[in-house]
Amino acid sequence: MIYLDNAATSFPKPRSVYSAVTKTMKKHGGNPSRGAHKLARSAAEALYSCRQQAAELFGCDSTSVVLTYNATHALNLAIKGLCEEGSHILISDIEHNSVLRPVHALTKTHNCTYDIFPSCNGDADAVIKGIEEKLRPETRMIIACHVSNICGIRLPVEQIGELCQRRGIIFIVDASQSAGHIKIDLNALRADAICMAGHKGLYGPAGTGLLIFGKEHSPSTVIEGGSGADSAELLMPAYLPERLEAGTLSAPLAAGLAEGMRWLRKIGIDTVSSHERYLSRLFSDYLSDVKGIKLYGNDIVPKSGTVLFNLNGVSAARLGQLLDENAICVRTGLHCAPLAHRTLGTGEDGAVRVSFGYFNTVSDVRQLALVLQCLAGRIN
Amino acid sequence: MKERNYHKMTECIIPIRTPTLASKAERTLALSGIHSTVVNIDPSVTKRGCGYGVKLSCRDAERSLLILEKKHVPCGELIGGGMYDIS
Repeated sequence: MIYLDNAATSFPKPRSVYSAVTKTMKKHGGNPSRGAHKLARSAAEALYSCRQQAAELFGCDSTSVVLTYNATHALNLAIKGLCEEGSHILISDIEHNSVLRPVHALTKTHNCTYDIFPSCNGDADAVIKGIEEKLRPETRMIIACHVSNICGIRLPVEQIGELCQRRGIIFIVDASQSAGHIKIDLNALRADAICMAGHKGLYGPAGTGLLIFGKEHSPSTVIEGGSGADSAELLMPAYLPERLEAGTLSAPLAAGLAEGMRWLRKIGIDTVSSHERYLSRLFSDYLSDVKGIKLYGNDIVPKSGTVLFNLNGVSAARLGQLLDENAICVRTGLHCAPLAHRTLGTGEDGAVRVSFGYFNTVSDVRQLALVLQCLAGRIN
Repeated sequence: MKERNYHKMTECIIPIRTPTLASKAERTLALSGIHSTVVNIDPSVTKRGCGYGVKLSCRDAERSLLILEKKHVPCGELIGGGMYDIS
């Protein structure tokens, strides 16, 4: 089996991640941050280790790291928690539904409006110009992905952050496809918050995500409940991270995510990303020999480990099935990002996405290329 | 007149409002060679419900408070360390 869907969730994980999850389930079975007996303390220790690994990876304080279930959860907490009634919001034209849908929901619940700015294939000057053209006096929030989830387009988040800081606009970055692939320094981003999955480039287990605040905020709460502290009060605690962490958190999953980040720091983000880029460039080179292939969004040289394409004469879904029959796992369709597909002009059936991870090999690329060449030969 | 007996408390608790900050305090102090343990504090003491703190030797208390202040861990008023009438 060749797994090439790492942009959805990375697989396999480093061995130490599996061990950390199992060990925590078996040995640290208390409820973290609920009570102070030995097992509760050791479970709480797992949560804190996860926050600390994130703090070291992204250059922030451990208390500004909110543990979430996934990136969508993190984005909902950040967007809805920091949004003011009647705000005008800007999002890019390559956003995932995890940004588009919460923002659209705010138009119904908080009387907000939103506009979409062009990603311009990541060209910094063009993106900033596009944002400035859409700004209004009541623009209070800009949300942008760091890297697209369907192709290698990378938005100039540092420049957007600088613009937002200058104009006093809240800036939220969706780092789901960049965390673990690109070095991120929260201070350089000047973002109010960054959100990411823990189970993609950070190599943690599914069911993990992070919301990290880059500036001091006491956001509105979206979920209320037990927080382990200030329990006599009717309101959630005013301080982070407990304010946004109602209910029991999973110590085993947090331990797995902590281990994923520890492994990543040991291997080095540059090592991981250069390997992924090498594989995607090699794959693109192979694709250039395949008749009927159309590549999207990556120009000629892929800038990330993700390649998006279609093959003439066969739908994306059908091509995905054919690859699956050849024991190759890829993702097809709209990838929960219809806005981005519209921007890239892939059509209503979307496209096929191949996304490489650290554990993929050159042999995987050769096998995929070979199967595609055979299929293309049969179809065209 | 009966002689009174006093016992000096050797363990102190530094109250810390949240479980995350309590974990941070424990780790921060460990890096400075001070052993501490996260403990619960009764709601009757905090007046806000469940509370947390780090228990440590009273002789490390003053130094610990200074270290935690430098590391931006807000602490409450030290509990323990006084003389208690046990007669």
